[in-house]
Amino acid sequence: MSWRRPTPLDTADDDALVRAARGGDLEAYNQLVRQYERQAYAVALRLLRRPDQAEDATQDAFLQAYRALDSFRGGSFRAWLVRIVTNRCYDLLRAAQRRATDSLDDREFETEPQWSTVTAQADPLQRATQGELHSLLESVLATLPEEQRLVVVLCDVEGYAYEEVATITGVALGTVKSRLSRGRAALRERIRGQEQFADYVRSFSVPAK
Amino acid sequence: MTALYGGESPRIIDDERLSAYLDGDLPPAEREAVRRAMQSDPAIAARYRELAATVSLLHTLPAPVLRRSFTLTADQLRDVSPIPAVPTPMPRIAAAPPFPASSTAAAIPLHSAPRVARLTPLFGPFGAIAAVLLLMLISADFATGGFKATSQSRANSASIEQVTIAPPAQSAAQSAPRSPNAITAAPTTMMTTIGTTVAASPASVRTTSATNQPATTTATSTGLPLALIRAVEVALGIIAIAGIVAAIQNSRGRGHATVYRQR
Repeated sequence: MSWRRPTPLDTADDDALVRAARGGDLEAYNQLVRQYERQAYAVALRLLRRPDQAEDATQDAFLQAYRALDSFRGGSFRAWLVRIVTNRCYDLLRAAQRRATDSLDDREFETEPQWSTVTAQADPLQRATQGELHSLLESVLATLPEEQRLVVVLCDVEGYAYEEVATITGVALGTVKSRLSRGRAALRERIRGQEQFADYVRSFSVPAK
Repeated sequence: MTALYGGESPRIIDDERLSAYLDGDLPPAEREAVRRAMQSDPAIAARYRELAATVSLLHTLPAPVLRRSFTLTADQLRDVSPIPAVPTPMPRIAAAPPFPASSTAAAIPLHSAPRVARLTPLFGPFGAIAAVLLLMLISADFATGGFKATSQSRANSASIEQVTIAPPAQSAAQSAPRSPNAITAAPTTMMTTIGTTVAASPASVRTTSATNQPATTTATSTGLPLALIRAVEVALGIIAIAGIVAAIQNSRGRGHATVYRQR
């Protein structure tokens, strides 16, 4: 079984772009935007689950990050940026909760992801099966507690390393790991009863050695 | 340690450990213990396979389509730029001292300027009244021939004041035909601008000269001592000067100085 591990970050490039952006080079900043906008939007979308809101949050975050460039102290620009994105998303979620127009119960019954995706599967049958499973997974992902959902999305969907997720979420490494395992287990429990999932599990075996 | 993670104690192999196993995040000894537990316990194996399938699905979740780009434009940044995109406002011109210190017009000590500015509302009307009284007094002086002009720096301000209250000055001066000096002086200062008046003003209205004229009576003919009259003139002059300065400062602060200059 091959796990998709996070690609090592070339922070040297980011640092140079950040320096240029601080000096007023808008194009340098937009290079950073282009580099990370998909990841930022993907995280926002899985936290907010509505494309329009996720777009607003992403745009807000990039503006906010530009304004706060001087407070960036080096390290992973991506982690710093995604932290701004998630904070913005939580602001929106809190505001939505205060309005109390959509209750958490409504979210429980949400089934289909409301956005189009980039499909990579070539085999139509496999694509159909996996497509159903992915839709299923997206819907149960939405039912996870926010803390677990964020860590699962960052680690397993976006492929960030534990350390980077700890930076983004501002919690200890051990907390990241426990939230991740609890989130994964909760997803497994909620998807377990599905017939397609049982078929899918058959292709997984216990490592012999 | 081995016994803890062996098949005999399956409950120790919790989901956190299986999760760490999936991520290759266990030290070799623990990793081996988990592997053996999975092989000997079907329940642990089932939990592991389901967990692995779940994580695999998460790994392969298709990325959402980006419907738009989030690159920033200069317009968007105008409001949030760390460096203001619009030039900072010019420093307020009213903060400048009313007169350049090096000018010959520096009749008012620089350090008094802020205080004068603070008292502007008071000096305005009082200055005007004082100026009228002063001119009346002076013209009365001329009428009685008791005035001898000398030159002193404060004359500058006095003639500026004449510009401001031109009509009374003119009538007052013309009502004193016996004073040729004053008659020519008043119209001259009225026609000149404030700036040139400072340099060109005839030294005709100085009031503090201790003339040796006999104590002739003034227009009021009250028989008051000459020194007292002169003192009153000096006081009125100072108040008038203050009023002029206040008026000029006001006009500069509001950018209306040209109104004065063109009149």
